[in-house]
Amino acid sequence: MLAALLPHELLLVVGCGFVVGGLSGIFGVGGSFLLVPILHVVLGIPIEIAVGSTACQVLGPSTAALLARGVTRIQLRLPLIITGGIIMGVLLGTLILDAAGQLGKIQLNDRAVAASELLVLGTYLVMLLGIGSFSLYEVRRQFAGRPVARGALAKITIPPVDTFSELGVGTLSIPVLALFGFVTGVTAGMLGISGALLLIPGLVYLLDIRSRKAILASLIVVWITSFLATISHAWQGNVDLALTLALMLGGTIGARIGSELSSRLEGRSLRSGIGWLSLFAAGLVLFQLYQLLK
Amino acid sequence: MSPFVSRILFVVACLTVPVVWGIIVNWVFHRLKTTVPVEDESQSESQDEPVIEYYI
Repeated sequence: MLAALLPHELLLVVGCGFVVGGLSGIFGVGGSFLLVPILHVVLGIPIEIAVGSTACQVLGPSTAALLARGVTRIQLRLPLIITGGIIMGVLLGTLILDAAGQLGKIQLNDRAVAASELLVLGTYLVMLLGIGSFSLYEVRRQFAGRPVARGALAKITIPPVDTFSELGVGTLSIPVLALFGFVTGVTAGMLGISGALLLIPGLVYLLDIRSRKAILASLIVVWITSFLATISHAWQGNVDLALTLALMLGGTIGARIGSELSSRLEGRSLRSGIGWLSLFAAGLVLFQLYQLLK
Repeated sequence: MSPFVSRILFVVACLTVPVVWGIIVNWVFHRLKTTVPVEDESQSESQDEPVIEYYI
């Protein structure tokens, strides 16, 4: 549960947390999607430990953010509905990761490859390529004066439906919200990400919720997701507390500096930055997959 | 101590450490904000708010 990390390795982790926190502060996106590939590819930390510890460390900043904002009862409605799907999703995601871990090594291309590593890296690659390409496409469309259409999921009216006037949207289908939460939960449980990277674009583009309100809803969901993911991963013994603390320490300082740099950049640069950052992380993952399979 | 109890204690520790960290960070930022002179308050707010949120 406490990996035998040497002091200089812990310092390296603090440094990674600092760099990722800085990038997160600049671009306004989650750090988890970068942390897992970096911890695994650069520092060689086993994928299950990297995923579990990253999920655990997210609880720190999300607790601080929720305390700083304060949340009213009505603001909890949508996040709690989504959470129904997320609970099942996180459990399933962690179980899938655990089952892949128990499969051990599989033969691919005449090489023995850990099934869990292949699953996590493969899913990461697809997700990062998708987010990176979408971000760049969205900026391009906006620049051309043809913004991306919003609210595809908001048009589905599977009953029961309810009105969410506090979010500035009309009626939304409860089963659709739960299913949206389920997909996010599976990804979060399996990859150790907080889910914000999927939640915010999902809430804004699929459910047509305004960015500011989507961020608060996502914040509440992220806290619940990371709380559940931490229980699940800690129970499997996949959390390293020393690693978690080192990540939180570096990340907090990095995010502070990054957010100050962020105020000097314009919105479009930030959004295309997110796209390139995702594609960079996808490149890291692709490199690791190549190393595994060559 | 039985493995079951030590597992439960470990889960509790894994939840407590980041939550306490979050409470401390929030407290520190709150203290920093309240010590900023009044005329700089709006500026410090716009810079402080994303510091925590952006890292999630």
